[in-house]
Amino acid sequence: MSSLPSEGREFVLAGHSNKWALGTPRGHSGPPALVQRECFGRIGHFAVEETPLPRSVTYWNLFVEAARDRDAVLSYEGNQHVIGFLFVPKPGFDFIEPTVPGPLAARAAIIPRRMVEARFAPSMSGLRSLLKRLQEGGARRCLVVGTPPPSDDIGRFEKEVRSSAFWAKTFEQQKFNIESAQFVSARLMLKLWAVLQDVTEAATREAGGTFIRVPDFLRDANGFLAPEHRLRQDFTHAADSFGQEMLRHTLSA
Amino acid sequence: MAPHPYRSMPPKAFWRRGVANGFDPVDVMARPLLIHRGEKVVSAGSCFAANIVPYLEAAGFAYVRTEVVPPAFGAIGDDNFSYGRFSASYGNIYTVRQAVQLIERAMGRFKPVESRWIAASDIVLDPFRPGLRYPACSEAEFDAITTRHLECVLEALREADVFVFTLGLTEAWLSRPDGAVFPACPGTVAGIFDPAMHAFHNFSVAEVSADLDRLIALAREVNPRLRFVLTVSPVPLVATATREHVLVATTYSKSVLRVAAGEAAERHREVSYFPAYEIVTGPQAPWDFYEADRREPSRMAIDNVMRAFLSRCESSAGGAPAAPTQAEVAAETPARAPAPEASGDTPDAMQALSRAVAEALCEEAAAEL
Repeated sequence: MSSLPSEGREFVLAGHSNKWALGTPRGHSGPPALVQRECFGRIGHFAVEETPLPRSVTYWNLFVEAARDRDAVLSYEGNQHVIGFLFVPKPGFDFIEPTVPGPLAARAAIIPRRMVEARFAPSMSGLRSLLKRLQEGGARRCLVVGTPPPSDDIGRFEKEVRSSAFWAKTFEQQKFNIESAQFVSARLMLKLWAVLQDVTEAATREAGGTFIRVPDFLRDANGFLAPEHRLRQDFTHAADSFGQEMLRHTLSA
Repeated sequence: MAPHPYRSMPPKAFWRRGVANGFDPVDVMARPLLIHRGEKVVSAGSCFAANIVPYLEAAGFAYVRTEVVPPAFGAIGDDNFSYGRFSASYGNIYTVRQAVQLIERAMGRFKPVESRWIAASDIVLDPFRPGLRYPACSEAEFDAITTRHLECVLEALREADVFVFTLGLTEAWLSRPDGAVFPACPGTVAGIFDPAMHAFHNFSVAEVSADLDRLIALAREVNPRLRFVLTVSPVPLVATATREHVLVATTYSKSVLRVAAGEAAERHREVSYFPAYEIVTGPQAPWDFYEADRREPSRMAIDNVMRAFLSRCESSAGGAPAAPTQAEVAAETPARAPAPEASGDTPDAMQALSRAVAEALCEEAAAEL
């Protein structure tokens, strides 16, 4: 029988879009606030904000202040492998990622993995400075949660995008020809995600935090997001079931 | 006055009329056109060779690029794929022997003993591209990158009509076991110098001539329609490994290259020599043709060289193209992936849209998809 959560075991959770799956209450209106919830025998304080993007300074300040003497659980960005890579001009590129074995794309430019790391590196500056602030503010531990791997059903998303009025309008605004657009392959996106996890882990460690990798049991045999945790219309985020398992895994670290 | 051969010579044959008075670099070459309308150009050679590329592209010529920076990585820096200033990412090729060996490697006919330098368990260096910004993490990655690179070398040769090659140096450092030529002395840019493995060599006229013959034969084996334009770099040696003064060593080196290039043009119908070296280094050249270090050709010098070069090329409209302005030259961004022809969509648009989709999905995630 577990005892009541003590003050020392409380945590504060904040971050970007993957925080929703981790249990952040949706539909908040008003200024940034903390919503308390018990999770896996611990008291959690979830930072909420009305405006989805970008997070306001007030939101981050609230997080830093609330993290004093508590564990800070952070889901920071995590979509860099989609931003800039969803569409690729022919002949595209590929690279060796040891965790995603298999043949390289034919006729693609083969680039060094270090180049991909360098591509993601600048996006870590915000994470580093936030971790620094959290530590200076007295956070007990800084836990950075790994973001969900992509699904291997990007083809389904592609089909939806090509037939959706919403996306047609978005494409038109960008003066982009939806008919000829070439989507990235699911394997390449998985590789990019794998590098992003490594880069995020390195940045977290350098800043004195702990990075929580996505465990194998939340992934399929090829490393993609396990089917039971996928969302129907969104291939970059995961279902709440993934988030709950990830939060349990994080809090047990 | 008795007739003699000089009576029928044009003004350019006389120093007083050809050089001392009214010199125009456009007049220094009388050979037929270097590049015909619609022809594609591949280039390689020393650092000076890279200078011509933005001029060719700004003037509307099709410069072959088979190995480019994927657009998603363009923001990392201009040299982020390294060696991106040529048709493929082979970087500077200072000696003809190195160019020969590059094509032989691409054709699978030469496998250097020192094919890689393993600097650490996760750092594998390319001895033939020692300045690559991002070394391979493993031998498997090194093999994948190098194999694709060599395929791109052959693709570039196959695709082109004209091969512009700039001869840079005679001095080189070789791998003793098989004579593989490095672009830089091991230990300077990368690797470790080992006197048991590495030797200095200064190529002779006979060797450079033989290498040029071999280069032409190999390239035409890959692509029988290839024609060649040879130039000699006017950039002096940065240092010599001979016991000579660097100025004396430079004169030897450039003299050998100039003779070998000229003789190759005499021997081969499909080879032309373009006198970039003479335009920049001749006594007629103004002081301003070199920067203050007297080594780096100035923008003015390159402008003059390229004005003369382009005057011997045929534009898409016929006739010589107008020399591009500095702004047009500067606007050329080498080593970037071209926009896909089929869609007309630009890489920038693709990235912008990728971002838009990702952000929209984030919004939707918040709205409980």
